[in-house]
Amino acid sequence: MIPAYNPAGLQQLWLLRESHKALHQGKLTDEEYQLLVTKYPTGFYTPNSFIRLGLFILSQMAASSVLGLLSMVLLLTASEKTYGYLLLFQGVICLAGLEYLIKRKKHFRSGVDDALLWMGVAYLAGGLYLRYSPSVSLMVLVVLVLTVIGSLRYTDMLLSVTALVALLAFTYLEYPKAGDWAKLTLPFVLMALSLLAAWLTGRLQHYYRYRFHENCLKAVQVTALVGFFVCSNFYVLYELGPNFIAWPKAFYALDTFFWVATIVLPFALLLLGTILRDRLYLRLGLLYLIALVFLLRNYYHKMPLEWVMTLLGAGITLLAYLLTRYLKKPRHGIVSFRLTSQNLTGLEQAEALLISHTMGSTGTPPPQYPLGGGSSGGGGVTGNY
Amino acid sequence: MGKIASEYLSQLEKDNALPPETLGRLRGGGDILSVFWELKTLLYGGVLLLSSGLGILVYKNIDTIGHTAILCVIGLVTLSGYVFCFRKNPPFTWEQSNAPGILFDYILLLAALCLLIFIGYLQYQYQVFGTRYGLATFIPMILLFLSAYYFDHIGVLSLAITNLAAWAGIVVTPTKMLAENDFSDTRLIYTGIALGGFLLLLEVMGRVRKRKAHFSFTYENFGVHLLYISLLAGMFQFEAYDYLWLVAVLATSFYVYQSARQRRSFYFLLVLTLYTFISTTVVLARVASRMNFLQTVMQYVTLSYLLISSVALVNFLIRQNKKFKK
Repeated sequence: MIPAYNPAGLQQLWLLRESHKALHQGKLTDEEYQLLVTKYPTGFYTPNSFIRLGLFILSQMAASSVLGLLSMVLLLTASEKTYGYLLLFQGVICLAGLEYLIKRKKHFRSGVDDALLWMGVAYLAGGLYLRYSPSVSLMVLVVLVLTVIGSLRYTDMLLSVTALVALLAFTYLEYPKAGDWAKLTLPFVLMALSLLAAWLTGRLQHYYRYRFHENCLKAVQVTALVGFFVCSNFYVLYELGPNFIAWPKAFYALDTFFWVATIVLPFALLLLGTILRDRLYLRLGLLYLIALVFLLRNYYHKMPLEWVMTLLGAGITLLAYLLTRYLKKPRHGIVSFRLTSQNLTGLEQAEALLISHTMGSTGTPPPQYPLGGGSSGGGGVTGNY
Repeated sequence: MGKIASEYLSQLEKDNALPPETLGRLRGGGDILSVFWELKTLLYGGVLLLSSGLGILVYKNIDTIGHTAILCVIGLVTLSGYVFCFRKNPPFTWEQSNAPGILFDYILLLAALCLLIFIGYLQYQYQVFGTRYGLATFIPMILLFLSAYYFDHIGVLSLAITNLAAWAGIVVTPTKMLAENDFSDTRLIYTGIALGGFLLLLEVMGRVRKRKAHFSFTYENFGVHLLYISLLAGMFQFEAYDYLWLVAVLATSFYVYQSARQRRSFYFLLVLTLYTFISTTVVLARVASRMNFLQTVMQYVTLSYLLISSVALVNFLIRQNKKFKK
């Protein structure tokens, strides 16, 4: 499907994205990157992230107000089916507005187009549900179709992720109906589907033909790897799983396999990330390692929590210190220092806010003390232990 | 070289976008991966776990270990951290200085946190400050500000501002500001306004006198949110005078807009837009709710207001965004 956005603009954007990667690999200087930014104007209206957020919120409000006004006109006479038609109409209006903004006003990730797209798809899905009252599986299939079309046409990451989740959900809902053997093999089918999606999207990212959908493919790859983690995780399958699906008796004999998979997966990802120098695998590996620690803590809690925190904290700090020193020189193409001198003020400010939130919490001060009050010395220390 | 990379390079070559030597560098292999932010995340997590675990350990084992021993250990960690930082720190300057490495930042943070624990513990166990609780929060606050300025650390500055607010009787931790402050207390509202204004004054002084001018975002961020929330709280609390509070909000928005324009800050532009919109909507909603006899009409008017104002603000933000970019 042809993307809705101007192909020439998308091509410029792709060139800048590749240049940005080169900048972060230390192959381009900041000046050279700025030269390319000037050379390749996209022609799109893409505001700063904060403005994008603001436009998103306000667009949602505007569209909801329109729906509110229309609902008030119909409310007294509306049946569920009529309301379904209203939502379908609203969805069409949103998508028509989106096409107009893209073609005439050149909006691209402006917040307004994001809001109109997601609301358009949501209203269409909601409208179809109210009008036809389909089964859950059929509804999931409808969502899958809508999101696939949406992500192909508008190169939207969220819709791509939703499409994969819908596919896995549809498999989860329909596959076990085949019988006990299907329930037994369900985790393996979902794992295989996730792995296939991760592999396929990973491969397609290297094809020039799919360059405009690179972000969507990346988002689906991450989701697929998370899906693989969830479907192979011991805690999810054996502690949470029975709340949603009645496992056959034979399934409980497979617990060793899933324990091994749960423990091995984080290390496998870290190894893969180191060999391939892929940040995605490294970050996911780290996250899964943290999840593994929590899981082991859940099952083996002989050691008091404060000792676990202290020892783990000391261990992680020491590991980070050793890795920082070890990677001062490139080792297998990995380094510990920043490669670009790009302005990272935003990230540093976010870090400072995170520090103030997690390490600077104070108790609510007693009201009887005016200036100079407070029961806390800050840093999480209060007057009352 | 992959297909994507070769297409990318051939496009740059065709457009004469970069000099040949740069293209040669791009063609060369050897991709380098920097794990700077991943290591920083690990360090942050490690320091957080370590400081929290030590705190609980100390609390639970006070009787066994002995207060003096605990104080000595915490004091030792604090001293060691600060000695390390003093030795590694580049010469003091009022300009921005770069930290000697990732470790420096987090050792300083650990030392600052241990300092707070040390002083708090001294007060709790030995009542060093007696009943002068204000002093028990004032001294750590001063030490944190001194550390933040001397070592040029924005994280420690955020801790210092949080402690300043605690000394004044307010919680300014971003996610707890609304939950842990009782804004029905009028004293708190006026304190919030005064403190918010004071932080903005510190921001202006730092920027104009070029005394760690790069701290200005942190001061302004805390100051703006505290000021707006206090003004909104006043608007809710003193319903009879909500017009006056609205004027105060608009005056604040005018100031923040000028500052945002000067610094081309989209973040503050968004913040002032949302707060101003909320306050204006609250006042108008109150006017509408007083018109009981036109209830159905007012419902249509309210929805239409939301629609028109959202569209107007969308246009405002788009225009301002283009203006800021120029």
